[in-house]
Amino acid sequence: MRRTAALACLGLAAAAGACEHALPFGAYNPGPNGPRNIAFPIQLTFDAPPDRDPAWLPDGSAFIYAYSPFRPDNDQCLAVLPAYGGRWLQTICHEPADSGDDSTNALSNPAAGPGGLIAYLREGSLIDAVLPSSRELVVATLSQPDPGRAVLGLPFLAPDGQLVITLSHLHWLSSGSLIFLAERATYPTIPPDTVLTPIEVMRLDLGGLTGTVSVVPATLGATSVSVSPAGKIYVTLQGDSVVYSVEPDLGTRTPVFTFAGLGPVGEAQVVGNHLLVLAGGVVATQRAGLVYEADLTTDSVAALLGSPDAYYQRPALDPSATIVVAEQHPVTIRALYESGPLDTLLGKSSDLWLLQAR
Amino acid sequence: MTLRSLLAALALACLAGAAAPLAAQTTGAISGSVRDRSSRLPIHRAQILVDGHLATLTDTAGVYRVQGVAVGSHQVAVRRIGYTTLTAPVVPVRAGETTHLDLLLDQQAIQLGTVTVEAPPDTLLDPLGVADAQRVTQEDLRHLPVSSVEEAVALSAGAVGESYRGGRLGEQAFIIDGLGLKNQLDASTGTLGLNIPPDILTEASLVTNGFSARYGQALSGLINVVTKDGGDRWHGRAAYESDRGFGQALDHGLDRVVLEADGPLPGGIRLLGAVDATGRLDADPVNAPAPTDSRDPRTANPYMLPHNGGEEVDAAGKLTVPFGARQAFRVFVLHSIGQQLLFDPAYKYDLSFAPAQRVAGDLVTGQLQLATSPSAATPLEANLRFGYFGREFERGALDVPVSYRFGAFTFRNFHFLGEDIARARDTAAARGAVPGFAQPDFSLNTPWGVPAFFMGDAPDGTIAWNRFREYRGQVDVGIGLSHEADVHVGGEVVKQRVETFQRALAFLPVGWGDSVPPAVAADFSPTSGAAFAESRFRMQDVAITLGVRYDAFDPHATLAGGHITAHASVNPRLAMSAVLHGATFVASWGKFSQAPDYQYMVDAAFSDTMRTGRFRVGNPDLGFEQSTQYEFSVRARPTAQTTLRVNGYVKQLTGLVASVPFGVNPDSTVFGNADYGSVKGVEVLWEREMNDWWGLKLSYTLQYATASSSNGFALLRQVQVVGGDTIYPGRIEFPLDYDRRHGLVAVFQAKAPDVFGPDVQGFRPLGGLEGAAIFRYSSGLPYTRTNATGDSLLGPPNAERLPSQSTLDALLRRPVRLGPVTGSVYFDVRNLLGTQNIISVRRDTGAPGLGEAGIEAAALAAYNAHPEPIPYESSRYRGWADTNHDGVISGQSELLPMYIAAARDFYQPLFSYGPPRLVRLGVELIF
Repeated sequence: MRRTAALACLGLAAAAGACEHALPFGAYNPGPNGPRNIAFPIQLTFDAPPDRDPAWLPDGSAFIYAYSPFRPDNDQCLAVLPAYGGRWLQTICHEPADSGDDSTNALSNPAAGPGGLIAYLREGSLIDAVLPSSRELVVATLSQPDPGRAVLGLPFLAPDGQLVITLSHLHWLSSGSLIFLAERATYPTIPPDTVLTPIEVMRLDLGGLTGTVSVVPATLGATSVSVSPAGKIYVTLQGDSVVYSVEPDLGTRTPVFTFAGLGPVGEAQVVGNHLLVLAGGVVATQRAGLVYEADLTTDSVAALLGSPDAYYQRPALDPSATIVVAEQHPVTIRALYESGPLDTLLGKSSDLWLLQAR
Repeated sequence: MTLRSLLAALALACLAGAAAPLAAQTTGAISGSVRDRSSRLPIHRAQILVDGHLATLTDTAGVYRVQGVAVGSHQVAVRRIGYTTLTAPVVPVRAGETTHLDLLLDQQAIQLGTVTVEAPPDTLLDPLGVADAQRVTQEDLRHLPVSSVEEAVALSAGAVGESYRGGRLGEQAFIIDGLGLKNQLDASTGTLGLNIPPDILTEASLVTNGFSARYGQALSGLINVVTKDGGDRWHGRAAYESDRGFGQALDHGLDRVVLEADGPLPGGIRLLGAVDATGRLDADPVNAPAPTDSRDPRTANPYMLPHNGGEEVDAAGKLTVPFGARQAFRVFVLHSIGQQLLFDPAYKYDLSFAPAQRVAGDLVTGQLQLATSPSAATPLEANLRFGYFGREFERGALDVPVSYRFGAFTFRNFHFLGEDIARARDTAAARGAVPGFAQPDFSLNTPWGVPAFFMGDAPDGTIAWNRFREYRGQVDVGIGLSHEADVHVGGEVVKQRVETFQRALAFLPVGWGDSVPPAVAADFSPTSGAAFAESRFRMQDVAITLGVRYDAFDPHATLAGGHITAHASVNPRLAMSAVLHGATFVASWGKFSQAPDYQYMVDAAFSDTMRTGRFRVGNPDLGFEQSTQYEFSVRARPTAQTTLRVNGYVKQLTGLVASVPFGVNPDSTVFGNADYGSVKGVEVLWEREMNDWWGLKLSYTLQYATASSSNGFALLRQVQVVGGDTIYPGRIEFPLDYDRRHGLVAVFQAKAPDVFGPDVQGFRPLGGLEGAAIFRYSSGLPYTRTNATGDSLLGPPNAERLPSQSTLDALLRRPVRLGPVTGSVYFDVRNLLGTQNIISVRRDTGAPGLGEAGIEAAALAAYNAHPEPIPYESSRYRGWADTNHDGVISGQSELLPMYIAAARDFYQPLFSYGPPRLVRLGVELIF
């Protein structure tokens, strides 16, 4: 009987000590989900509503952009998508804890900065309202993106007296300052639309509770602004085919490259010796066209291969200057009336596509 | 008598009681006669010794009676000069009963000697035992496949879980060491919050008929628990049970540790301590079918639910301080805490947001026992008891996910979001969104992708907390009028406090969108009291027990409608018994009252669990719930080793607080204090006592429990509308919720001799092997069918029946010895046959599941709510649903299959099925 007891105790001790309990089923894991296509141009987004304002994260692994999640409150959110597409890494919607779904909250114009910083424009209105009731520039981090810190309320009166209604082309100059293109906005009701008119480039320093705005000299009439990885500011001007660099401290504007024969250019960006612009199409009127890249060392210019029946907006060259993510809009050319002049209609719905840089 | 005068009377009784003797439900009595074997003449002044101590002397008729004997087994000896001393080594004494022991002495001619009486006395036929008491002892709990007192009591005839004789849950009260105990807040939907470690038990019994006038707060049953005192030498037991290593289907993450020790301290003080801790990774296992869709992660392990773990720790201690010859002071402390994660199908894929709950209970009792000398002309025994009982319940979202330390043990208290606000009942602070909560949204993490059924991002925003506390003082005085008559008087005063708090949708401010109700809180201090008198007389083979109890309660609560009034009730009880032709016939009648659950007096929406949440409204000015029970029973001993008990009873229930559906929301009910029901039944209990290796108990119950139609506000009467018609409420009868028509329980026990079976090198594996099996069969409980929307009944209430249920449990135990330490190894199997018992069904389908048509309808409704396409970049995109491979799942042809798969997953009827086969291997050491 003693042997029985010893065996029993040993057995049970072994069971208790050596055996782990079986575990319940774990959380569902959808597994890896990479790019849908690998041949350029690559369609990155497939949803019906427009996807807008792509901006690369500093390490180039992903980009952040604005999308519409198809919600009853018509919110517009931000999403982070891997560089070559796949499943969202993160989505950011503004959901005030004390309200709920009684308002439309639209996030747009994201900019990713150093140290996980992000900045974006946040607008709010009652559902189905024509005009936004609030608009503010928000600074946050990717890990805690909402509600963030509102650093600039809009509209505001700039130091030079300009009334700034809204902004676009938001970029980080450093962890303490942002740069953006100040704009006016009008809202015609027939048909209902939002018409944006660029004013000039402004800088926001984040020293205090709210930021301090200053005007970047020599940028009046700018249609786009960007900051290179080296920290230099580049602008394009209304009706101009020249890309300029701007030295804010000196208040000077220096031509960098002229896209001769392409007409007005916009959305200029510089990474290393790669210069990206939007040209052709309806750049002058609707800021949409084809994507061109110039090699600043050889001065050669080439159009990046895209869709033949589409124009692009807001192209963004990644930090390694190998790929470009851009809004692709379907284009329809038709006569406004019988036997009338042809007009170019830019589709409102846009997806993001990836183009291969040179 | 007003409540105030009653309290004053009780206070006087308490003062007087200190000098008087009482009998209590922790003690019993031994009585009988002592006669000369040859002449049959009574022997006068024979000494009766109980456990070696002189207890009393026989009178001139040779009759003796020893009162106040602790429940348990005792040695009784009788001695008289000139006679051989006679010893009965094992005399069982049961709570509140008199053990009858007649003794015949032989004249001692030459030298003194001792004769031992081996046969135990027979308590079955004692006419003074009028109660239908079904008992379990600590040994039963060890030898049967049961783990708790509740499980053991549930084996009793007439029990359906914790419903007794057709009554609903909460119609029972607990008596622990003679002190009444009840969760007066929500006994009908909640637990007591206390669990008695079986190792401290002497016995537990279920009394279902005319229970003693000493006890109230119950209509259908009393569960009388007697704990043991520390022994006269140190003794203990340690046990560990687990189902580790039995594989996926049998491993539910069980670990149970039991430690018990008791023994003497200096000064004659006795100490008892016990800890019983159980952890289970799946604390609520179900025998539900495996999912049919291979994408459902549960297909990988259909036996265990995640986020369903629980731990229960019960710790008890008892100090017995004797003073004087027959006086003792006892302090008993019990702390129980049960924490459980609640698997919620809505949070199946975002488990960290699923709810959890904690129930903690504390009990502290003190007992002062005083008794006169056994030679006193009028023996008295007094018991003064006081107690504190606290129970706290909390349910909601955890602020941090649990971290298991060993098995399912966390060794940490759960903490809940909003806990501080709830405990402070701070409705003002709860007007805004409660910190820590965020808006939940449809889960992104399901295999089905679609925004439907499954939630994520944040918990559902429920905060539920309540606390019930009571201080109870109780005095019992027992006076022995003669050897065959005694009288008991006494009473109790109970001061209670009820605190509750509830907040829904805590992630939103109150009033947002007119859909967020304000937090509700209650705080009131009810008072109740009772007085009783009871007497028992025995005249030869006829005995009469006569008692009356006065109950009163005053909620001391003021709600919007005004102050809730106090109520009082007088409850007489009578039992007569006689021994005829070797059988004891008992007829009893009694009236019983219990205060309603105080949850009905609270302006709150209580819900019993997250799975069946119900919101109730009604008139909180409720009176007593009452019952009147008539019973006729026969007890006989057909053979020397078998006993037979047959009980027939009729019970009328009135003034029940009941809920009926309210409005179109099936989770909303209205309650009232007007329902009427009746229960008729027959119980047959046959037992072959353990002898020649085996014993068997069979109990069968045939029962009809019906209710009449009424609702919360309309009695069975006509209603005349001024200037209009007369409305006659429908008069129909329908089954009560616990109308279980047939119930059969068979308990078989066997024990092999130590020398038994093959000899394997001097070792007999089967020697001393003990086995026990419990078979249960019960016909189905009734339920009510409704239409698909749940707002209309299909047919009368409770017109449908669940299928019958059956289980077979077994336990094998092999005693072992390790040097001076003995013990055993045991293997315990519940639901040995793996029977898939259906314990509930959906009211709309009458089946556990929603059915294919229902699933498709639910899926279509969900699709119509969210028909939006799902693009490739969305976390909701699932390639299997993109049948045209265009990178977008869109349109009904692609989206609806996703919704159907999600609906089929969500509506799995998991909790409609009872437990599966459960095993445990245990080892115990007794030292």
